[in-house]
Amino acid sequence: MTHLTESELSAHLDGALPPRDRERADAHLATCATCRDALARLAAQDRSLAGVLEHDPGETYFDAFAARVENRLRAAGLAGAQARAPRAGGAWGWLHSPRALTWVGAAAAVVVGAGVVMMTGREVEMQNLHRPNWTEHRAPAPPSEGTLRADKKAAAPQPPVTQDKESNAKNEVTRALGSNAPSAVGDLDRKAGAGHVVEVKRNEIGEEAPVTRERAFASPPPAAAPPVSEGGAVYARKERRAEPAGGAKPEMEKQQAERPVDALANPMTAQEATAAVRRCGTVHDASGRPVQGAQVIVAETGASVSSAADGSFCIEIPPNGRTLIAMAVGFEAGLRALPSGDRSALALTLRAVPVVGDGLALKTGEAAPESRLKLNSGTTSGQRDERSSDSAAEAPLGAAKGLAFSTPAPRAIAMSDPFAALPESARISVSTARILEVEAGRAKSASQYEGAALMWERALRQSPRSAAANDLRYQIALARNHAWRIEPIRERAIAALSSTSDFLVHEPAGPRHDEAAGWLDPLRWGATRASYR
Amino acid sequence: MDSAERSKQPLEAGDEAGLIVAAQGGDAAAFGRLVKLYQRAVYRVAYGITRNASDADDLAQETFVRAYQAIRRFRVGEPLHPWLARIAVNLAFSLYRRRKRRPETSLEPLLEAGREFAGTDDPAENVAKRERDRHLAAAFAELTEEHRAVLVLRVVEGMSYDEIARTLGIPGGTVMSRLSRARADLKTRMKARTGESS
Repeated sequence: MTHLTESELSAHLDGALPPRDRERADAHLATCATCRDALARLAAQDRSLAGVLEHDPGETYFDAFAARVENRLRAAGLAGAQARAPRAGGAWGWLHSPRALTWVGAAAAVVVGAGVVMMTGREVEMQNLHRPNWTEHRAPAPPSEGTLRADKKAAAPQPPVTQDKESNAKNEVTRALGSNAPSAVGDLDRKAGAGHVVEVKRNEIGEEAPVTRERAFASPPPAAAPPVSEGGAVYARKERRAEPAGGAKPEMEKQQAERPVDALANPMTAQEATAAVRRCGTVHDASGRPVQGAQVIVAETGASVSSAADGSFCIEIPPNGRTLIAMAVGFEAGLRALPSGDRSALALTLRAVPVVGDGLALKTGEAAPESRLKLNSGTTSGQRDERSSDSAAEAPLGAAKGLAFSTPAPRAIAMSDPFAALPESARISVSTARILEVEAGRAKSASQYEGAALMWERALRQSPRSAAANDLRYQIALARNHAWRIEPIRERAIAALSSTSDFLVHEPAGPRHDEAAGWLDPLRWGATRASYR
Repeated sequence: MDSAERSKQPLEAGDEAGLIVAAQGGDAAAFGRLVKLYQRAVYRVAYGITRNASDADDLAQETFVRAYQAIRRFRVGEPLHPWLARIAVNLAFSLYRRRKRRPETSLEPLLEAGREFAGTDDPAENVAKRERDRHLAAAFAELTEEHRAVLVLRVVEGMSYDEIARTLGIPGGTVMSRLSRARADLKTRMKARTGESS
């Protein structure tokens, strides 16, 4: 008689033999001690292996697990869109216990070298995300209040016709991959997405999930843009990265549209180098009136646009763009996370600063004409989209600055936020710095910490005599220290030493002084060593 | 750890589909429930392949982050478990490809401590078993990615061939032959190490 093969034994062990084979195998096993023994050994090996490969980290671990996932999502700027319900202890309701919170903290501390700082950063960001300033209505939102009108407008920029004018084949690829869309066609799109699975199934997540959605996490976040030079070129960062010439927008789009090709050519970048995505939407106030001249900023790059008279805007979201910041005179700033892959129209609701007099005046568009002027002067090129897209792409800086000086004293964002009283322009910098820090901490990226430091410095330049100036100096020093610790090169040590000293000079005593004083020695050591990069 | 245990999770298939649909619609709490339902399974897969608690933790979290990003493309009605496992497996392998090395070959101290308690009262036997486990872990680490994955999914996760096929994106027949070869390979390596088969 022939013994059972390895394959038959293995399949038999798993109960996976077809019925007829199984009968035959059983009949054989009944009479063959050798095969019974072999089967038993195989089973024993499985059991031992299961023991070796299993590990139970314990209830405590799993109690806190979901909260930590939530935390990670939020750190990646992905959770905000979901944080609709304004609640204090975890917008998703995943945080169940103090124990869970401890874990979150512990996780943050592990992730970042000097965890305390990052936790602060995260918390602040979370507060922002929690603030119910913003609500997102997807286009098919139920017809209610004043938002319906806005939604329609917001959805309007999406029709393929508009896009086709400017699209080339590559662009189509991009859209196809990212195919989710606007609105009532959600189901179809979902199928379409699934249909494309084959095309992109080599990505890490496998065939169920095309590349575009995963890029944010599939690979380490892209390194931060090269440090921004003095002179506040902050808002040009994205352009610089995408297109060194910083040229007109059509070119930029072309370049970005070419990215998927690069991505295909180079598998390592396949997930991160997908093209920028154009998102459109509207900004309106709580009562549904459009907000003109609102700055909509991609936090990760500083690229910004401003909203048109009807509150509409279109903005290119680079692959690493995960957070929008919107600010307008007379309104509280808001952060909006951009779940990657989401293409629906953004309907952003800004909450008025509750300073009755100013708020009312501004809300009705008192400040807008000024921004509008700037917009108009900035919209000389390519009127492709009569909605605000062109002005959107071109207007940023001037308008942003325009916002700053006419801002009424903003209400505190949060009681604990030392930067709440800064002028609005500086607060943009602060928000951007915080987001960069969260990102930097997650990616352990020295250059992103440097980007954050530059943003803090920018905020300091924008408000050098603010009461929070020392808080800013502290943040600068901290970010530079982080950058140095992650990649200890001499230049970073010197920069960190300089900013730390600057802070110490301005804050001659206190716990923060003592803390920062402790940074000096290692920095001095680092600054005297030859760069070994 | 077979599918029977997994099905103990207090959810009917319909409920799960409901949660998925809700999560696809942006209901974060629903997604949170899915996380709670599958966190152990995902952790098991991640740990099985990496055999390192810290990597497993990172991968398990990352798996859900990816899942969150991709949930809208998930086809409702299909099983979620293989879908999540697939993400975890792929993440684990890309992690090691990035690092260009294989998982740890030693057992984690924590794990070993647990083993000691779990063992019998006979110290000599415990020592022998730990020694065998150590060899088994080392032999397992030598296997190819494909073989490790299929063994983890079957032996640790208790997945059916169909689920494994879905997870790895391979035909059912391939699952059968791959598992067989993986087991045989492991057996051979154990023999080489210990002079006995497991």
